[in-house]
Amino acid sequence: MHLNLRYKINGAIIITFLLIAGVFSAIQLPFQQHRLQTTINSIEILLQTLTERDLEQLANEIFDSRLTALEIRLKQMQKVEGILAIGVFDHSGKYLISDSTIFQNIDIKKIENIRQQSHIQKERWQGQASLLFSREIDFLGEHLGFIQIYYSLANVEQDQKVSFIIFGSLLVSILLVMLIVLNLIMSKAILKPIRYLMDATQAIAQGNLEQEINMLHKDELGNLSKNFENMRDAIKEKISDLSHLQNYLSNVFDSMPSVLVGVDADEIITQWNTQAMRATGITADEAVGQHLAQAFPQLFDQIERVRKAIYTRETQFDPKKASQKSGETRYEDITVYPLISNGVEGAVIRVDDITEQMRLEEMMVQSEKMLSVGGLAAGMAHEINNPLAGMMQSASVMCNRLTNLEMPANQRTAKEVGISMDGIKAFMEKRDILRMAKTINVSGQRVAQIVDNMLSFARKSDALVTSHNLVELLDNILELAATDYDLKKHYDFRAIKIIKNYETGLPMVPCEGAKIQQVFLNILRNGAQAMQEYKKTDYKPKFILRLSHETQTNMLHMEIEDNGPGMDEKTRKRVFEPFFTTKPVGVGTGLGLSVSYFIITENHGGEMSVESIPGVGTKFIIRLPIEVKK
Amino acid sequence: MKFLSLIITMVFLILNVSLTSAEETVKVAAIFSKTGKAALGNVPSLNGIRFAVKELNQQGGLLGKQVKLLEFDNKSSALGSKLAAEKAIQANVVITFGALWSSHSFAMAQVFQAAKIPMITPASTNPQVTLVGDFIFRACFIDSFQGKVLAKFVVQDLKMKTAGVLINANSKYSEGLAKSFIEYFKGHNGQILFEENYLEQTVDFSSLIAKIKTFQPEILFLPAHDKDAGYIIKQTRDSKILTPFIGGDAWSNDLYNIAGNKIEGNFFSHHWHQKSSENKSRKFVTKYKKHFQNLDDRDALSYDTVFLFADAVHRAASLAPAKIRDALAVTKNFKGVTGNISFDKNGDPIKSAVILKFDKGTSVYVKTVAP
Repeated sequence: MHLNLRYKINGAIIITFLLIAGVFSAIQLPFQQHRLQTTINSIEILLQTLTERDLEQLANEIFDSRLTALEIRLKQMQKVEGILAIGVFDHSGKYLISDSTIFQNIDIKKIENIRQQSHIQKERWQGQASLLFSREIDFLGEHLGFIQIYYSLANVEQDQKVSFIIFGSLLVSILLVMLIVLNLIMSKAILKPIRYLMDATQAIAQGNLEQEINMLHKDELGNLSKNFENMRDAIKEKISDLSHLQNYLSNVFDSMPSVLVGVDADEIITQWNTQAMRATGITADEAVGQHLAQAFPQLFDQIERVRKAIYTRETQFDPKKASQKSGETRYEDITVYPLISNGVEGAVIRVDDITEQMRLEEMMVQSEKMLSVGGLAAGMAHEINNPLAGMMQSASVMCNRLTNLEMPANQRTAKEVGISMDGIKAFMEKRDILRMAKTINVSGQRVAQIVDNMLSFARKSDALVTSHNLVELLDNILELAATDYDLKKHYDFRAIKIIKNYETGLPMVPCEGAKIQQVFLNILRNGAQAMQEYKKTDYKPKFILRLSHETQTNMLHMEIEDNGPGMDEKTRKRVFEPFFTTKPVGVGTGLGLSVSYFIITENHGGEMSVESIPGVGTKFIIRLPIEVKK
Repeated sequence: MKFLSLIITMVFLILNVSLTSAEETVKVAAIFSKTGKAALGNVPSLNGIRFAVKELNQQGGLLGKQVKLLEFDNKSSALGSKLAAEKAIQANVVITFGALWSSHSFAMAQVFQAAKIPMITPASTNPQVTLVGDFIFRACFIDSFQGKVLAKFVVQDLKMKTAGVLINANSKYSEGLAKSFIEYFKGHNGQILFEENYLEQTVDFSSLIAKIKTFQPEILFLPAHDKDAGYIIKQTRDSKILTPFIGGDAWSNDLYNIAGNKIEGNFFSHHWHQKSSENKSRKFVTKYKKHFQNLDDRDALSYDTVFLFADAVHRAASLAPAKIRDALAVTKNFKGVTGNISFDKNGDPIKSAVILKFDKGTSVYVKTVAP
C-alpha cells in the first residue's frame, strides 16, 4: 500500500523532472546552436586574419611556384591551434600543395561563390568534426589560387560534449537529490506517519482501543492522528457505553427470573439467559446458533407459536402449562413476544416457572384458611372452653364422688341409700365407669389442648416478652421432653444422644419463653418421632444443638439437627404449611411446625428454616433478633 | 566587349608610337623594389641605373634622342614585378632594366618575352631567368657558375668537408644557388649535413640555429638576400656559434647595417670589387662617388646594364625593341665596369667572379675566379 504511494510520488517527481529537463533542453539547444555559430564565426575571422596576413606571400609563392616555401608556410600556419590541414590550389583549382592527402583538385564551378569572399562550411575531416574554410588568394588584382583550411571542431564538440555531460549529470544529480531528499522527507513526513496511522487504525479496527495513535505532530497528519485519537476515544466511549448497556441488558436479561430465549425468524437461538441455562444445562455459548428445538426440546411445541408471533406480530401466551419434571408437576407460563424493531425479525420466548407461585397461592389460601380458623378458634375456644371446663369438672367431680371412699359426703350418701361405697366402687370398676370418666377427662384435656393451640394463631400480643436465656430454655425443654413425653407417646427420648454445642457468653434474648419452648418442643418431638420410626442397623439417634451469636446481624442463631431419615425436597418445602402432616390422620394435627413458624416469624420477628438431606438428617435453623424491633 | 577593348588598345598603341617619335625621347623602364623587404638592396641598383641613364643623356642620348627612364616599383614581390612589367609595356618602353632579385626578374621575364620587348637584369643570377626566352638578358654571371665558384673555394681554399645549407624558400635565387653549390660540393667529397628552408619574412631563426647546433658543420652556406643573411648571422653569433658562413652575390656591405660586426670573417662571392685595379673600374668609382656617397658593388652592374643597351642600340641603329634584342644577342667583348661581357646563347654573360671577405667593417678582396 505504502509502496504504491511512494511509486506514485516518485513517478510524479520523475515526470516533473523530465518536463523541466525537456524545457531546459529546449532552451539549451538554440543556445548551443548560437554558441556553435558564434564559434564558427570567430574561427572564420581567425582564419581570415591568418590568410590575410600571409596573402601576399601566398600569392607570390603560387605565382612563383615556390612549393618549398608554400610547404614551410603551410607548416607554420598549421601551428595555429585547431588547424587540421591546409591545401593550396592554383587559380584553375588544381591542387598545388598541402600537408594532407585529403585535398584533391577543386571543381572550379563549385567554388565560384568563394571567388569574391571567404567561405566556411562544416565538413568532416578524417572522421572528425571540422570546418572547411575556403578563400581565394588574390593580390594586386591577380587571382592566383585558393587556400582551403580544415579547422577542427573537436574542441567545440568536446566543449559541447562536456557541457552536455555536465548539463546531463547536473540534471541527473538534481533528479537523484530530489528523489533521495524528497523520499527521505516523504518517508519521514508522510509515509512513516501514514504507515503508523495505518498500523494504528488497523490495530484499532482489530479491537485494540488502547492503541496509541496521536503522533503529536503539528501538521495535517498530526491533526489527522489527533482526529483518529478523538475518533478512537469516541468509539471507546461508545463501545464502553455499549458494553455497559450490553452488560446491563445482559444482567437484566440474566437476572430475570424467567427463562428468556431469543430466536430469529428461523428459530435459531440468538439470546439465552441464565435461567435458560439453568433450565436446560446448556450454556449460552453452546445454545446460541442452535435451533430452538435442539437446544430447548421442551419448547418444541412452541415453534408454531413463535412463527405465529412473528407473523402476526402479536404476543402469544400459553399459560399454566403443566409438565412433569423429576416426578413432580411443574407449571409454566410461556409467552412469545415478537421482535419487530429495526427490521429484525424474531421472537423472545419467556418461560416462567409458576409452580412456586401456584403453591404459594395455595398456601395463601391455606393461610387464609388457617387465619380464619384462628379467628374461628378464638371465638370458639371461649365458647368451647367453658362447657368443656364444665364437662371436665363434672367428670372429675363425678369420678371423685364415685371413687373417693374418704369423702364424708360420699359415705353419708351411701349410707342413706344403703349402698356401700366399696360396692359402688367395685361396680364402677367392673362397669368401667371410672375409666370412661377418665376418658372424658382426657378427651376434654385434649380438646382443651387443641383449642389452646388454635388460640395461639390468634394471639399477637407481646405482652409476655421478657429476657430469657435460651440455654436455660433449651435445657428445660430437654428435661421436660425426657420426662414428660416419652411416657405419653412412647418415644424413647432417653435413647437419643444429645450433643450440646453452645457458644459461651450468649446474650439474653427478648422473647416469650413458653412459646419458644413450645417451638423447641415441637421440633424435638418431630425429630424424636422421626428417629423413632427410622429403622436402621446400628442406628444411634442423636440431636446436635447449637447456639451462637451472629454479631453482624445481632441475632441469636439456633440449630437443632438430628440424624433421622430426613425429608425429601417436596416434604421439606411444605413442613411449615398448616395441617401438613406425614402422620396418619388423628396422630398429628399438622399444626405443630406451622405454629412454630408462626411464633418465630410473626410473634418474634425472627426467621425459621429447615434443611434436610434424605438418609442423613434434618436441621432446623432459628434466628431470633436480640433487640426487639419496635 | 573584348573586341572593343582590343580596338581601343590598338588605337592607344598607334597614338603612343606617334607621340614618342614626336617627343624625340627613348622610353626605357626600370623595375626595382622601391618598397618592401627587398628595397634596401634594390635602391643602390636603381641608383646605378639612374646614374647611367643620366650619363647617357649627357653624352647626347641614343640616336639623337634623349633617354627617358620610367621607374616602376615591383613592391618586392614577383607578382608586383609582373604587374610592373605590364605597366611598363603599356608605357611603351623599348627596353626594361631590372629586376634585382631572380624571383622578380623571372616574373617580369615572362611578360616581356611575351610582349617581345627586351629586358636586361643587372644582378639576377638564377639560370632560369634568361631561359624564359630570347628577349631576356643579364649583366651578371649565373648561379650555376657562382655556386660552383663558392663550392670550389670552400673545398680547395678553406679545405672544409662538411657544410649546412640554409635556403630562402621564397627565393629562386637562393634555391638555384644552393642547388649548384651542393652539386659541386658533393661532387668533390663534400658532405651536406643538412638543407634547411625558411620563409623570406622570417625574423626568428631559432629553429634553424638549433639545427646548426645539432649538426655542427664546418661551414654554413647561406645563399640569402642581405636582410635574412644579416639576421641569420647575427642570431647565430648571438647563440655563440662561430661556424663561418659563406654567401653569394646578394650579400653586400649592407650586412654591416643589419648585423654589425657579427658578420666579420665571413666569405661571399661577387661580380666585381670597387677596389679593382682595372682602369674602367677606377674611372667609374670616381665618377659615381661624385654623385653618391656610398658605392655598392652591384651599382656597377646597373651601370653596365644601361650601357649594354646603349651599345646594342648603336649597333642596331634602331630603337625598335626587336632590333635592339637582336643586337644585344650578338654582344661581344663589351668593355663593362665589371668586366668584358659576351652573351652566350641564353643571354648570359661569361664573366669572372670575385671572392670577398668581411673584414674590419668592409668587404675585402680575396681572389678572382675565372669561368
